[in-house]
Amino acid sequence: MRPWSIGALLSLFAALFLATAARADTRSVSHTQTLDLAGALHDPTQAAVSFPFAARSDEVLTSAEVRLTFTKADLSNVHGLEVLVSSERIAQLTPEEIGKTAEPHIISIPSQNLSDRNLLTLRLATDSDGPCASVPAGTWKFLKAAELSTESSPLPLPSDLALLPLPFIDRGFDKDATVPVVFATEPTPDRVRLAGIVAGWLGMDNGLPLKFPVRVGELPETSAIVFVDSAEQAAALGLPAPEGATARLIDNPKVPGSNVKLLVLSGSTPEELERAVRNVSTGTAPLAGEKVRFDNVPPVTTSAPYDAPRWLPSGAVPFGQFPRKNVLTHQGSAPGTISVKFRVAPDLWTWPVENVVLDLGYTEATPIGTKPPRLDVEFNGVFLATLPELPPSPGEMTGRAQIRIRSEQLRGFNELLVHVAYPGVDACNAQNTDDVHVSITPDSRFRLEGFSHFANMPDVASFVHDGFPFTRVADMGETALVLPNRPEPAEIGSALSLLAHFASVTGTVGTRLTVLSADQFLANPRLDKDVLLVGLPSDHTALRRWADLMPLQLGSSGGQLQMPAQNNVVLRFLSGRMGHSEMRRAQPVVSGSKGFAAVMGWESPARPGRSVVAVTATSTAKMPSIEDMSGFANARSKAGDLLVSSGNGRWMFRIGPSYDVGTLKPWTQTRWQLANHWLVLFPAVLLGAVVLAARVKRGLDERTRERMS
Amino acid sequence: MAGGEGRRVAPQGGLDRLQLWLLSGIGLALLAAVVVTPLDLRNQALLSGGVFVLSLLLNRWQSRVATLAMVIVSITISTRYLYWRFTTTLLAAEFSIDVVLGTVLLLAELYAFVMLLLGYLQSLSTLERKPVPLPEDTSSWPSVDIYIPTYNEPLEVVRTTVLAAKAVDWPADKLNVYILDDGRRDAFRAFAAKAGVGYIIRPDNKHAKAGNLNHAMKKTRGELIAIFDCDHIPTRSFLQTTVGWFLKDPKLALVQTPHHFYSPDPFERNLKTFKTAPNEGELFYGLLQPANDLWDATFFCGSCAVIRRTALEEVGGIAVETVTEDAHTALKMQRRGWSTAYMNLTQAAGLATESLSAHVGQRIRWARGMVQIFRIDNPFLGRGLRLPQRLCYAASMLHFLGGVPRLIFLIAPISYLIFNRHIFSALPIAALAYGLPHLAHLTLTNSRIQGKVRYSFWSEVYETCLAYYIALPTTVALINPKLGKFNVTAKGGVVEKSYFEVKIARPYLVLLAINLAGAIAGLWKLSHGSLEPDVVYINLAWSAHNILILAGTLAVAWEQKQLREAPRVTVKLPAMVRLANGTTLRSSSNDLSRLGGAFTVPTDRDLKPGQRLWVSLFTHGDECPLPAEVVAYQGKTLRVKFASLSMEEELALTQAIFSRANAWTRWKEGRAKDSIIASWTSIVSHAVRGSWQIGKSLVLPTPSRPEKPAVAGSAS
Repeated sequence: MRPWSIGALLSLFAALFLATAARADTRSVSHTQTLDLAGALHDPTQAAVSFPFAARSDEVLTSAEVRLTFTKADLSNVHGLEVLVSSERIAQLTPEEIGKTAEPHIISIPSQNLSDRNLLTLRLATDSDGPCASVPAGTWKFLKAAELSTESSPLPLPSDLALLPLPFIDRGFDKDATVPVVFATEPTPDRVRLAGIVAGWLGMDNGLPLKFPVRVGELPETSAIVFVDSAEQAAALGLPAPEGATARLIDNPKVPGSNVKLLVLSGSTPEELERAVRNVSTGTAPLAGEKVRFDNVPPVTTSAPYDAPRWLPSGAVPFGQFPRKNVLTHQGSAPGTISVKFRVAPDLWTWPVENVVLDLGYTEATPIGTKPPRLDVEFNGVFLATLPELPPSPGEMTGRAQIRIRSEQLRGFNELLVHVAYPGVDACNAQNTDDVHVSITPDSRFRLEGFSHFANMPDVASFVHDGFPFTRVADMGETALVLPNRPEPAEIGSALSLLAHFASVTGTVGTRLTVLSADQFLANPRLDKDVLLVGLPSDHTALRRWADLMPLQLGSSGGQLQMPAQNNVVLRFLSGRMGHSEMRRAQPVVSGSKGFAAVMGWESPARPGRSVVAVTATSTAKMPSIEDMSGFANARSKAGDLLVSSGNGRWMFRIGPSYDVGTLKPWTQTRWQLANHWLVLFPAVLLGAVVLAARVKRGLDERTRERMS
Repeated sequence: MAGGEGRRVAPQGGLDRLQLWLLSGIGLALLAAVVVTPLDLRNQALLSGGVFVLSLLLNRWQSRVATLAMVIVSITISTRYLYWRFTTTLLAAEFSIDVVLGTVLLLAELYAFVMLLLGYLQSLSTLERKPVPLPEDTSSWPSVDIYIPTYNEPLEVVRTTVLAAKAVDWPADKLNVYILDDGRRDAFRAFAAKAGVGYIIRPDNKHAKAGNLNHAMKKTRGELIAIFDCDHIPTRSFLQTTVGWFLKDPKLALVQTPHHFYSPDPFERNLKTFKTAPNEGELFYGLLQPANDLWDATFFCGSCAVIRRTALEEVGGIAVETVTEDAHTALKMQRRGWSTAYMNLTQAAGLATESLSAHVGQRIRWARGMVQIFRIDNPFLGRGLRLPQRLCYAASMLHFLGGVPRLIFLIAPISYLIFNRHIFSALPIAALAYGLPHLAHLTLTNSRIQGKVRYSFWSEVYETCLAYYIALPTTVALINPKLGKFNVTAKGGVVEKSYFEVKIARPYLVLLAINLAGAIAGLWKLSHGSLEPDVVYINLAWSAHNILILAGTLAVAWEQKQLREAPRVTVKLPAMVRLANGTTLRSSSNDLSRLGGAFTVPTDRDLKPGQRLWVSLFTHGDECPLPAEVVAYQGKTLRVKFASLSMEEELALTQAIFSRANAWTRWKEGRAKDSIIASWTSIVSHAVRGSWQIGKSLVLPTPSRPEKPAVAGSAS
């Protein structure tokens, strides 16, 4: 917990008090969520399913409605369906009503039944009442979908920095968030760099995909972060003049007395703005009150490669020392899951080792007479094993299992799940006592010793999910973000979204990021950094300069696939991947869509071993946020050099040549080079066999002559 | 280039030593790259497929370089499999049943791999020796003693051999034939006297055959000793073919010739492959021995060989420490710097073991003996041998340790199918992608290098048949080489009725039942939804292969009846048939045995069964009419049985059948070329027939083994 969290809580109470006192803001906000029936219905014989719903912290619920869609099904076991909100019955549907499947049933929940935290329950009428009533399996089939829509009013928020990340993000409510950014004047590379640091600071702890709509020279009618580095700029926006390096949270003058706030980061000079941004992002001074003024420049710390605080250091780190504190115990006999989440360096190179070993210790305490639980282990969505049952004995028992995980299942972000289920026990008859528990011992570990850092690039999947290779040095000390000479807001927005994501991957704000305009970059392309190009090709001179290295050329009317230029056609041929089939696969995707975003990767021609990633689109409207890029992509290989994201979905292709980054032990390096150019093995085996055969034949002939004479 | 003529790098005759080593180094490095490169499944499958096609193309090229290249590719692919096996499929180091079973399987595979390498080494190239002409002056020819040791064989069998030995072309004053009778039988003494050959007996039977020979050595003085088992009948050219090499090479201790059988062995008889497919011995005598000879590692096989007396005396006579005295004697002589030779010319013929149990018994002795030698006189240790010799001897000995590994392969799949043990840590499809090419290449390559002497997959049947029986004796001999006794191989007899040799077949019935149970368990798993159907499939396929080979093996245990006491030999000779009334008919022989024969008589005559007549066969020398009696006359074929023959008449008949120099040279004619597919199909058909017969014999009351085994025929 951050020190200002408690402050934030206090402020929230104050805000709620204010809200009941005076409802100044009459605008209404609506949210819709689809209720996950399959997820809520653990057991098909459950008679009731519940869904919690709440109001955003800076809003109050005014109304809600449930929309139920039914489908034709056997209703012989259905005697009626009740809809309850926080134990109050709102509606009851008869089997006849349920049988009407033509139109969805809409049930309004009166505002007097709504509070800040609510529980929506759908319950089937049964003979026996109570929480453990059951129905025959399959009874629920009539319910096709359920959706909850809520209407809220904003609550006026106090102007207190301790509330941050409110009003931008409510971690308990938001699934994604939009953070408008305002530049008072032309967004120079340096200003974008500072905005990037702030975006990283917001992205670091919130774990949500963030969008950053950018405005220049005018305030939106929403909450926003405003950057001001001179008094004139402040005046032009109608904001108070900067008083040195300051951060302040104020009402948006366009919507006063509401939850619409501006976080103004300001200085009367660019240096003062930089000081304010650095202080905010490093958390050196507590943020509380309406305004904080920073007099000191925080010390600059430098990251070494792979020291991102969220990544496991190399070796076999015990679970107890994982960067993320995972709860390793499941209490009580109700079914449940222990989850262990962790990140490893995305270029942890396990090849050619086919399995990594999970050394898992577990303890169980079960009261006498209870059957021991069944423990199923799942890793990144793949079932691994059921842990060996421990012999029943009084007190705590400890077991240990060595589980092999296929190396390719290990990714940058990983989740190990241990599902606990006591035979014959469900949520109704579970005991919730301390003497029943299952734990994963903190000395459990993944055996990741001896692996090198190495990657076969380009790998846009790793870029999208783990920010690789830019996150390799967590403070972005080896990253150059290159924007068009006159970047459009949407282009800056895409860049900020990425930087926020990088920070959430590493747990570090990219304070040493270099931001350049395309022309600045082209003046010195041999810069020893990995290069992130963001923008439309039409605006971006650096993108145009390297056009022949990209698998896809973009214009306003769509894209044109091409085979990227390559230096060594023979080596490419020996890899067995000429990319032509991938090009054929990509053709309909590219030609079938008028507008889309694309992520491409290639090796820097100016600096071999350095990577270039371009994030681009057919038009500014299509410039992607991180959310547009990540998630499932239709692909044939684990890595690719082209990711296309359009309204219909995502596709990844591997068209151009590959290159390697990192170093391997010489023996592994040799084998990898052979494996990566495996077609060379055909001439090798033929030539080797014939040469040796000729040699052996000579020897045999000599021997024959010797024996015969 | 200026002055090109003066700068020729490789003069005629090729490259210098350094360049050759450099080339070999490059070749080895290229192949090593193929061995150690890990590939994903898709690329591994493509590489395997591609390299196999490469090997198939090499196979179309009829050149020794292509053969050797195929061998090298096969070794490369097998090594790649093994490298993968060691680097990625080993289970975790913690002790568990799986680890134990997995290690056992791995050791069995390692053994198979070592044997594959030794097998290739042993068949890379054969030495095709031709006879060395003897000098004009017969006085410079060495004197020869022919030893015919016997213990309990009937005189009918021995007398033919003795008569043929006497008929061997050699100066009479330099040739002595001896019957070494450990049975000390009066009939033999009388026969020896009548036939004019030596007769040697000794007071005890110590050290069996070896002791018998050693005893005789003290009584005779020939410079060379030719040894024939009492049923191995030499041709007249035997000595003229073999002795030349002794004159050419003063360090030569032994000339061995093939053991050829003119009667079907149990496999040939029970599977009806006599003369149509190579028999079990042909791989050894047709390929391994001539290849051993290239490395000066041919060893003595107990019979049909000539040994130099001085060499034999130097090692103290025939070895007596093991039950395979022959191989051991050769090893001892070679350690002292003597060399050995093999001539792949059939100069004698004998009777095959007449029943499966006798065959198995003989092989148990060989297996035990070879392992004894491996223990007490290990070819890798001790002085006097060069590396190739050590390897060839070791290959011949280690071959007999194959029983246990084979049993492991026969049982392994059930460890998963029935007991759910995972003894191999790999995706089944990966095991297939690496393992299948290894098997495919060795099958293809062996078909090329052994196809003439062993059809594809037949080794499986031969070796499976012995696996259970040699497993224990070899293991015992490996632990304590002193345990083991000599057993005589009985020959020459009849099997009056077909019967199922349950005694021999029992362990294979059990193994078959185990594999069938495994297959059923696997099918049950599939039908009840398995989490890992691919593991089930691959183990099912393995089990199916085991079932096929076991059923084929069991087909051998269905002993077919063999009615003829004396096997007939195809002999095409001009003949005359003289009737009692003095009429002479021109004729030619079709086949002959010491008891009768079949002739083609072109002129139509009224010949009644029981009618007496004389038959003359024209080989060389004088005409010698043989008294005979008509058995049948049908078409133009006359069948006769000979009346009681005088010694001279018997000698003439023996010479006609057995003594001709070319008696056995055309034996392999008309045989089909090995085809992997045809050979597999034939094993399938044997397996199907075998299981059908066995199924019947288990369900219906059928003849079981005769009360008294008809082993010794009309034993004296």
